[in-house]
Amino acid sequence: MSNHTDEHEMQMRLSVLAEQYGEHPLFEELQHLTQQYHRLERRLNKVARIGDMMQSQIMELNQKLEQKASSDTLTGLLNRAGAYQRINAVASYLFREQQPFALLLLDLDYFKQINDSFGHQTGDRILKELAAELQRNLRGYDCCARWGGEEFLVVLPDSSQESMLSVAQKILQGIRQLQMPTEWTQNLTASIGCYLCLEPEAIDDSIRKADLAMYQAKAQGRNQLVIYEPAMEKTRVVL
Amino acid sequence: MDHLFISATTSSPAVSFNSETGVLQITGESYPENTFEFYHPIIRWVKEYLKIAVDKVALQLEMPYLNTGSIKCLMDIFDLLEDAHENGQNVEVIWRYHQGNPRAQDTAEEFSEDLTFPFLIEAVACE
Repeated sequence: MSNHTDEHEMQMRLSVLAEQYGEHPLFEELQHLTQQYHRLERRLNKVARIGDMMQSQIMELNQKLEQKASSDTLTGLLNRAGAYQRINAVASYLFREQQPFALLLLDLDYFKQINDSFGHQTGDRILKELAAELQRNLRGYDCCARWGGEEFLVVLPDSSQESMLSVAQKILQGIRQLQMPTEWTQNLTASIGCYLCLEPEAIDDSIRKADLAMYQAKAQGRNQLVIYEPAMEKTRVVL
Repeated sequence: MDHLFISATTSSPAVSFNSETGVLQITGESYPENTFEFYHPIIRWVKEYLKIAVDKVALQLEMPYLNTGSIKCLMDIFDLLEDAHENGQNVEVIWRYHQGNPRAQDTAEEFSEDLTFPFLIEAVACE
């Protein structure tokens, strides 16, 4: 029942009482107390309404803060902390549903030289363009994060070896076409380690495997993708 | 009458009430541990000041967050101003909110409802 109805009902009851007890000395006092009661009730409702508004503002600010804490300021992608959170959530769901997922760990080739030669502003522009390129090649439910300086991690839920390689190839191709300073005579390239996770395991293990494959791609001459193989565990590449 | 100055803390606003100019400012977030204890001297000061104020009384507020107790105390202050206004005194409230938080405008409007004295709501640029 609304407060308005409460108030209306009480007024009605007072009117009925007035007919019988209107002349009673306490009736005026009763009317006064009823008015005070309604005033306080309206006031309480107002405090509650404003309190709710404040609460909503806090919730919205918290959401913004959370988003800020998990985003990479340069590229707008998830940062490492945000990525961990997302990957853990995605992985536990996929493990439950017995669906495989793929990890791509991408590292830009010769990025240090690019930064040293053309400055950090150029380096930052390239990282931003790369982030946009990655997102162009991904589906809405794929996840992409800036994992470190020039390292990016891509998670492809519900993936197969074929689709994983197709996405990785498209990314490599897209990167080669990114605009570079004219003085840089080569195309921009990247090395990608690919890992298809088929069974439940610790997420750190999955990332480590993609990392091993990425180092293998670097060792094999860069500008390529390499799929993780268990043999890589024994022959850890040192660059 | 003495001025009233209270320094801000992380959970309570700065208070600067000037009895000569009639400008009363409260600035900052308000969620003190004991809200009523914090606001008691403020409300008392306003009550006493309104008894002697001749010129305009301008309450300037910039309070991005208020806990429930603070909302109640602020409404008590507004009640005092409303009574003063009904008695013919020149009073006004200027409520300033951060531009980036449009919901704060709704909050200010909710506060101003039912009040008959001038209640100005102004957006200020965020720092």
